[in-house]
Amino acid sequence: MKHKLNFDEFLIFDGAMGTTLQSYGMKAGELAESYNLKRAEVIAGIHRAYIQAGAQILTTNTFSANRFKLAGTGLNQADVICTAVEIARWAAEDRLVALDIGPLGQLMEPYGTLSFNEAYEAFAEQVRLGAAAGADLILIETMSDLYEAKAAILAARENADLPIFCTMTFQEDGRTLTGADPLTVVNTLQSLGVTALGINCSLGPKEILPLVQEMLKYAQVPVIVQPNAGLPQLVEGETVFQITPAEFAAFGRKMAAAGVRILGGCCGTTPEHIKALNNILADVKPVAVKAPRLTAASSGTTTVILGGPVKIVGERLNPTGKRRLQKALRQGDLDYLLREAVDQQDHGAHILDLNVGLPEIDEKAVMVQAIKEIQGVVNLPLQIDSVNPEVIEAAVRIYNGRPIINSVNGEAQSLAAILPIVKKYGCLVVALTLDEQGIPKTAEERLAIAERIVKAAAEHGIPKEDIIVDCLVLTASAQQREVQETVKALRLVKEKLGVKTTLGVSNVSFGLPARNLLNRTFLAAALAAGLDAPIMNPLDAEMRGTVDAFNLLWNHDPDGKAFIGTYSALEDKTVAPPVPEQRDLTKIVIAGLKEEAASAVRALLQEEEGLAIVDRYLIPALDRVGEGYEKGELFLPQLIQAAETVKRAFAVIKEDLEKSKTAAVGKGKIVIATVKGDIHDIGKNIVKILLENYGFEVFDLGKDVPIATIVEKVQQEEAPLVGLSALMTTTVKNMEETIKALRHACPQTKIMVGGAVLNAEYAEMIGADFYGKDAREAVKIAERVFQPSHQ
Amino acid sequence: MEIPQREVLRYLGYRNQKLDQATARLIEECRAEAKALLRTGVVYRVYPIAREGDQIRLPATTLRLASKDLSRHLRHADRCVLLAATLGLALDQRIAAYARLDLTRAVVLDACATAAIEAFCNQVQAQLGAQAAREGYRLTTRYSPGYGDLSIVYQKAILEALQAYTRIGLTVTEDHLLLPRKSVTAFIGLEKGEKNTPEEKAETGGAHDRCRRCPDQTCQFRKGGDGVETQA
Repeated sequence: MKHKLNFDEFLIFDGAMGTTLQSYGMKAGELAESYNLKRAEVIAGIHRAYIQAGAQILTTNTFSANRFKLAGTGLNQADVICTAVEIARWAAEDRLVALDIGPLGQLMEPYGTLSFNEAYEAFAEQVRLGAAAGADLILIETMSDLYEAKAAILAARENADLPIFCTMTFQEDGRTLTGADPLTVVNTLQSLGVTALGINCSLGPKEILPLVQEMLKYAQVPVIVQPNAGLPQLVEGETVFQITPAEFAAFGRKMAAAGVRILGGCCGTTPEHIKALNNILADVKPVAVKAPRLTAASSGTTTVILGGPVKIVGERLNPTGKRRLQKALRQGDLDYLLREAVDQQDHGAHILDLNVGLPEIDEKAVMVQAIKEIQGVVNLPLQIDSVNPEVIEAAVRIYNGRPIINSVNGEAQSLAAILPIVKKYGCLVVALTLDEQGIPKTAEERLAIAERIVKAAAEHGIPKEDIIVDCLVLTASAQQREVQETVKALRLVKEKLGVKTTLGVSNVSFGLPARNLLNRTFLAAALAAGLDAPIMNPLDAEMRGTVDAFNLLWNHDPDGKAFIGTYSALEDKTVAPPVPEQRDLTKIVIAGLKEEAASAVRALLQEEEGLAIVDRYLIPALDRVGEGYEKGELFLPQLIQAAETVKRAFAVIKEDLEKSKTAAVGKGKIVIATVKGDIHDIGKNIVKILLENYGFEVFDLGKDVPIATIVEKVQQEEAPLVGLSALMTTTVKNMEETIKALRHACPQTKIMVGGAVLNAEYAEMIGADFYGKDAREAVKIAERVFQPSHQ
Repeated sequence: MEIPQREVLRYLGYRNQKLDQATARLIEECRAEAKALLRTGVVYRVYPIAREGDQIRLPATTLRLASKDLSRHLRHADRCVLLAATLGLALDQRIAAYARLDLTRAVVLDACATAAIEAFCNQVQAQLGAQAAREGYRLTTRYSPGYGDLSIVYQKAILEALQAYTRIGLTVTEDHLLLPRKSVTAFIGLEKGEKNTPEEKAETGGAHDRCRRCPDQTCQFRKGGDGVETQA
């Protein structure tokens, strides 16, 4: 870099480019970047005006110069970016040039269809071009999705060697569009190694001030602010910004006094605003703010700080000793995992440990998929639990937020493999006090290992605040004497190292009766010794009760509000009279009573075979509901409710069949998917549940499914029937292409299609065999296809 | 903003079936849940219209729309409001989660969201209408890409003209789907003076009229046909 950044003085950025270009006649919807090529002198003039106003950093006119925004404009990305950097360089002379990178304008998974890797690639192109053209630093700005910001930061770090500034934009509710609060933004961005972070655009300076103050409480790196010239106002159909340069500068001074070191302007600001800002800061120096280092994990929206009230790490996303979860993972059924995740969140977990390690599965692929799906459904930070460094790296890379890695230990090999990942992705890490010699017997030896790990981490540039020590719980049945060594070690580690701690509490009771009693007694002892984050089952009300009580007794629950709120209500509650058991399963299904269905089936299983129950009760009930729906006696929610009830009843029967080793006879395999480009999947899910209820084995590939994936699955399963769904006219063409590919690769396979824009003629036109107008129809089609005579 | 129960029922295909207590309660819960998750955003601008044959051009933007139906819709207008509105991502995310965990709730919440975006647009339109009336103008109904022959390919250009991504977080996929899902873009004509013929009055009569002109005769949501009668 030609110029060293000096944060001992204020750094002043330029102001708006886009809104300024409008005054040169740029139309709404026109790409500002096209001016680099057709009106270079205008861009240069705007840059010069900002330099004369006192800006020390110029931002290149490349906000939208990404492959998505440039698509269809006829503009060449390399020309746009290189020219932009050249113009800015010419205007900047010896001042700095920041390569401007704005959002891609596409929503990322899980909200949209853009994958993390695609986003990364798009940003990487911009970074490589800008760096090669001679930019001095990279400004990633106006980000409203933390996940997208992470993709951009990694792309910047891995494709250039330049300082990275990253600013995000907030809404009036104090969060980004995708829901991140200022703490989560700071915790995530600074852990990814940016040089400076902050806020731009979004709001006016007045609205930004409290958000900036919140950021300054946590930021370990310089904070940057580039507000709009006030909130955009609509005046006679035109968007205008109404804050005068003097007002703007006054806010700038307030921000500087709060600790901001880098300032500039966004939409609506002009060289006059920057000049006023520069003048008002001329006689002041940046204020040093000392933010404490936190041990904090983040999801894409929320941050959990260890210390103070006890934080529960949910242990249930781990197949060890859980047959149902093992089976679900082997079958690629992530719904089960999601349900466990949601259950734990609902029961007060703060963080979820995630382990998908099973010998016979592709752990890396399943881990990545599981993270993507879980972070679309729950808002809790995850603790990535694996023994395989490759799995860990893949996981933390695509994770949204700041994860915890579980774990590193004192073995040289583990330190060498895990610590670089912790450093690169800015993770927290659980440090196990064991090494090549195993788990030491005494507390002192465990402390020694913890010390070694902390020291090794420091050598990698990882502060001790990023380490959570696990002194390891031994089972009382095998090593009764060592149980208290763990508690002692925990106390020592807290005292000597001042780090946060975690423990897998339930290990203590393996092989003993009344495990729960042992678990919660041990938990209480460990909490008193300074345990910050027990790894436990949040669904265990008594364990949770111990945590709640501890928080109250240790003054972590101000005025006992949380405790009283939870437990006074419980005390008042008299025992509800038992609900008379409804025995008529058919009626239960029609009424959509899920819990009752499960217990009715259990009762019936005492007297009848599982398969007989299916034939005698469930299928007739489904038929009746289906007919009622067709006749218009029932409407959609009632149909689905009944279908979900049957599904629940089936689950009980399946378990029973597995116990008795009877294999359920599937009626046949069906692959279903919402086609590429389409993201509507409720309709497809309704079809899936009905087909399953009627005994078909359904492989659901989800939504936005590439053609190749569908073809591959159909071939692999040799499925005689495929169901495709598309809701939009534009995605029907992808459906047609999928059908073509299937015809070519699997000529035997029949294809049924459905979706709002389709009808029978249209379905025939695109080459489908069947059109299913609704889920009932899909079942009838499937029954026909799988009739013995048909095959 | 209240989410009208009647509209929720309509989107669920309700035709006066017996509404059992559990389903009724579920619908009420979902209406409340949807309301709590609304992060509404709207951005609009008023543009003069230029016409070239069946094309509508907004000279202040890069938009040039080839659509007979839009031309017809705006034939008495000399200006139009270009509008983009969204309910935000939070509701999308919740619906997606339920689609995996509780399908019935997903379907009902989705219907609530659809009713909500319509209600939100109606609310915005009412405000615009009042403003327009003060200036001696009246509004046509909303006309959106996907209606008649107005292609949804225009979504991208519309969002860019309104800077809808930076203002309200509204995006469009390569296949032209708006994201967040519960979002609308629309043209609203500004016409000088009072309504004239009864035919024209009927034409600004809202959803009823849109349905009447829509080619999809079998749509289950069609108003004024076999479907549920609703107030426009």
